[in-house]
Amino acid sequence: MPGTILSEPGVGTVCARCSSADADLDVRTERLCRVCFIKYVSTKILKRLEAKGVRGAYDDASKKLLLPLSLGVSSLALLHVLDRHLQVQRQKSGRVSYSIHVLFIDQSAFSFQRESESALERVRLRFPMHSFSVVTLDEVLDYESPPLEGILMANQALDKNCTLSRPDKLKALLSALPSPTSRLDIVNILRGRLIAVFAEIHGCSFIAFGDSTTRLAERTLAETAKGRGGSLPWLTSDSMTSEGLKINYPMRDLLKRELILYVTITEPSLEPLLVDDDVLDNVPVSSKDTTIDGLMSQYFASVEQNYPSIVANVVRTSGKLVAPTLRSDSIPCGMCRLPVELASKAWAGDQGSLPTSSLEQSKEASGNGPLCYGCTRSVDTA
Amino acid sequence: MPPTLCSHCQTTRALILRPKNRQKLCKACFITIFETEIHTTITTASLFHRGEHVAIGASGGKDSTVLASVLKTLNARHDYGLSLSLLSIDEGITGYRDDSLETVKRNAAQYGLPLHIVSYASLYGWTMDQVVAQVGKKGNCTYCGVFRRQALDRGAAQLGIRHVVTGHNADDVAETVMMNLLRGDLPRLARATGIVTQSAASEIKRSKPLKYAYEKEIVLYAHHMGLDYFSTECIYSPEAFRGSARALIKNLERVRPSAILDVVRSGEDMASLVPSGEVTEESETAEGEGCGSANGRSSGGGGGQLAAMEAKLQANDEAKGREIDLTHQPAPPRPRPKKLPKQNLGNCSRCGYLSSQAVCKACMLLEGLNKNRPKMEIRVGVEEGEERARC
Repeated sequence: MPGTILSEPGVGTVCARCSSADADLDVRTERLCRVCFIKYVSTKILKRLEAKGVRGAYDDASKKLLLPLSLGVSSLALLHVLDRHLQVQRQKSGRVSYSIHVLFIDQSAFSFQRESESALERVRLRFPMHSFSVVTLDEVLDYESPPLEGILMANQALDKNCTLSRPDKLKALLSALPSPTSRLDIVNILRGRLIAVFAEIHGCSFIAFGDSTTRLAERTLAETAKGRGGSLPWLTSDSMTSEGLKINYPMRDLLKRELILYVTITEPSLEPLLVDDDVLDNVPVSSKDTTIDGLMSQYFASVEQNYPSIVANVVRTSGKLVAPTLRSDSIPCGMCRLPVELASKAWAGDQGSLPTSSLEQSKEASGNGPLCYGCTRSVDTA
Repeated sequence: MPPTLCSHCQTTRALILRPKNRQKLCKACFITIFETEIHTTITTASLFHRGEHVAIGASGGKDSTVLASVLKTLNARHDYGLSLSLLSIDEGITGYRDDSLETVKRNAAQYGLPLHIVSYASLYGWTMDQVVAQVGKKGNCTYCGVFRRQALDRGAAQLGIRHVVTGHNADDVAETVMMNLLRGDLPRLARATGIVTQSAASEIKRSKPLKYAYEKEIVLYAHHMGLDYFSTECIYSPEAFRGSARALIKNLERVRPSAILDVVRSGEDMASLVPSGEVTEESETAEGEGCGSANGRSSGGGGGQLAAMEAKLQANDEAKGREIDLTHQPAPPRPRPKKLPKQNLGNCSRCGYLSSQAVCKACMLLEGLNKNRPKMEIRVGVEEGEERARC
């Protein structure tokens, strides 16, 4: 099967690229040796970054790239490739063309996330060249005021006079949301906002996300299913944050299983640094805990097995969608900061599905302007 | 425990848990709300105008039966001033269409609506049973789709009607959105979500008044109204992509009931993000558009379609490596945005149907079919039977 180590490499199978070493890896349609496979992965990533002007003139260490690390396969592989890239630059010329700031967001108090402290420490030791930050998810409340109070009050979850600590406030918000799907959705939105704000505060000019092809395909269909189809150009393609920072997906041409292979065969192996934080890969015990993101993750895990090109095709397709040029007076969503109104005037799908009273309340109370369709869906508690 | 009261009228006992929003309703309120929502859909999109002649594409299945019943009710209740009739296609599929047509005939009598049936046999000289006998089950949906598109238009034209409504529901539209994402078909993604499809390739306007109605609610409505419908699926429909997308939609609905509408909404929003170069006019190829009866078969029998797509995409990727980029030099700025050559719509030289080609797709398919038809019977020894060959 492609994306695996061949258990019995055929006698005389030479690498399709270098034609000299023995090939023991099955990659898409080719058989490669380990050296060429590692080159294959890093070239795909660096080409993407170069196209977006991240690699450029040497000696521009002020050009800072923010790398949000989840300690999953993809973001670790990305960190590893970029670290090697910078090391080679430094050896060759003593200078680097950009610097990396690694950001880990601790959301263990708010959603499923495995213990990560020790793994994080190992990552720091392994990649000492870069600056590291760890922030907790509730810090987002210092910078952003998502329409929390409104939503909470609409649900009587919050007394007007009651003052909660920051983490408790976030916990209260999340527990007021109607379903695991909504909670995961809003956690991801807040995480994205925190990353964007952090990048701006720390003077980063780029954010490089580790999402693989597979992950982006999952997101394409999951966001579609959550009513966020109109936001796809901002959620799955190279784009800009509302602060004007560039967002990059340099791993968009690599399948998840290729990245798994990468972290396995890298020497020394990256496996001890991994924290299997992927909630989505664990099928929940109760169907009540199933989320839309989890469902899509399972779906593409099976599609990737047999039809990897279809996975890539989904990503290519959503990549062709063009973000509309926004009117200067368009108001961003109070939650995700993406544009609000897109649907045609003929949209009549809301009948009977959104008893809007609680929502109207929340909008008024938040003073944050309207919510987009997807966010409305997720905070709608009726 | 006292019985739960209907959350709408607060008087009668709630009997129905609404699939769309889990609202508890009594039978009467559910019926009224269901009808009112379709009325709102119709008025929001200004689907009809007074005095319009509208044909209801009727298959005898739940969707078109409910559509006919609701339209008849609303036309009277809100005085739309429409003149309605039923239009059925007889594809010639024994054990499926012959039975469902009986249902349509009963519906016509029950609702007092005129019924017009056009058959593939009379239009093309081929029934789907014969097509399948010739081409096999693989790919027969292409024939059926291309033939149906024309047949509906011709049927409507025979009645002098320019507007056909079909029973596509929210589940169908959501499936189509997912399916086109999986197939990477942006032009169809851009078109499929519209409530009205009107194109230069057809003089007939089509619309889907049930676009926002859940399949489950359609079934409930049919059940509680005691409607007479036919529920067998087409025996020839192994559309793998649709099956895969359908299974996905059902799973999504289980996790979050609103997901079906959310996908429809996403589809509408995405349609506005499809770059204009990708938007093409609807062609007469209805291939892959499904026929609304390609139900439930998940990829089981039709994995071949996914595998074929996979193979094609892989071949594309490989070929890319052999391409040489000759246009790498930045092109001089164009004075004007490039105009795409306009498709010239003419008429098929054989059947006269609107087509962008000299010969329309249906005639092309027919030519292929007819080639293999015996031109004359080979007789062995004794003279027997009458001349069977047709063309």
